[in-house]
Amino acid sequence: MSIFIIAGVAIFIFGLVGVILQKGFIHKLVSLNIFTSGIFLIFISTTVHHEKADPLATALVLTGLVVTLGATAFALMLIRAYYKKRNQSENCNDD
Amino acid sequence: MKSKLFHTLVLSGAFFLFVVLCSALFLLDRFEPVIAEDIIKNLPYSGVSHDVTAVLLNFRALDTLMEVGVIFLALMAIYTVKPHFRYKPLSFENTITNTFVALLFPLIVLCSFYILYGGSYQSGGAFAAAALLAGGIIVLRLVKPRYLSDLQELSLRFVYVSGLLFFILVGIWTLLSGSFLEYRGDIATFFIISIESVLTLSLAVILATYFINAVQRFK
Repeated sequence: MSIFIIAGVAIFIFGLVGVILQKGFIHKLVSLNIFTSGIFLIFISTTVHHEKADPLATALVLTGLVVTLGATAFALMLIRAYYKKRNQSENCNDD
Repeated sequence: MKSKLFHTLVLSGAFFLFVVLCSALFLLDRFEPVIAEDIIKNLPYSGVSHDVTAVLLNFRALDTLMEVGVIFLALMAIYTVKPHFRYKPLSFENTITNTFVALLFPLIVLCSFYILYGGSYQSGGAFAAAALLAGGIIVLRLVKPRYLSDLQELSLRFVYVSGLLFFILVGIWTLLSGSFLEYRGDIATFFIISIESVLTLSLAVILATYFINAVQRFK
């Protein structure tokens, strides 16, 4: 299972670097999703016992996935509202 | 020059964090499935034969209720942001023929029913089925918008809340003879299947609404 732990940590780090270094908000949001996936992979692969995932850990990861989905949808709407507002104010300055 | 330094600093910090996290995870004690043994022992009373479904909808049903609450909260938040857009719905008419959609959508509904019912003895359940059904609704909305244009906002709102309300009603029903969301044996199977069915429909519509609101074009 060690390869999955290393892969999970790598995905987590890639996502974290993306959140810090990317400029656009959509890029940041995608990076955030990538790093949550890394956390879920680490969580599942550390709780494997006899080639079988722990049912409680699986249920927790399912909950986490759903919460991430809701957060992503809301963040997407906020980002769109932000860009729309910014475009509007730029247009007003032009006139 | 300054941003290049920042990049190098962040990347080296990330590599350091990678090494630290990997070594920390490998130095962890061996995982002992203490709770898993409890779950396996109590599985016959849970009403389903799959351990994850038993945890989600029987042993830790309150967590799932909160999860549905979070989904609903996100929907409400999206509804508060939505009036800021004057939008034109995204649609790709004529990309898929009527016949293909007429074949595809029932197939997706059938698959989601299979996943929903299969959740009682294998991996699956309400959330996976809802995601699949939401995909079907999104396909229908994108390629044939006129099929769904007759839907009233009011009736949609009833569907949004139905999952959460039904879950809470079951909780109150079980509160009359015990504690909140505690059921076991034969009645548990009935409760779990009915909760999952209502949740699938409600969550599918909510997830599809997330997508449909997020991909509108500005006017």
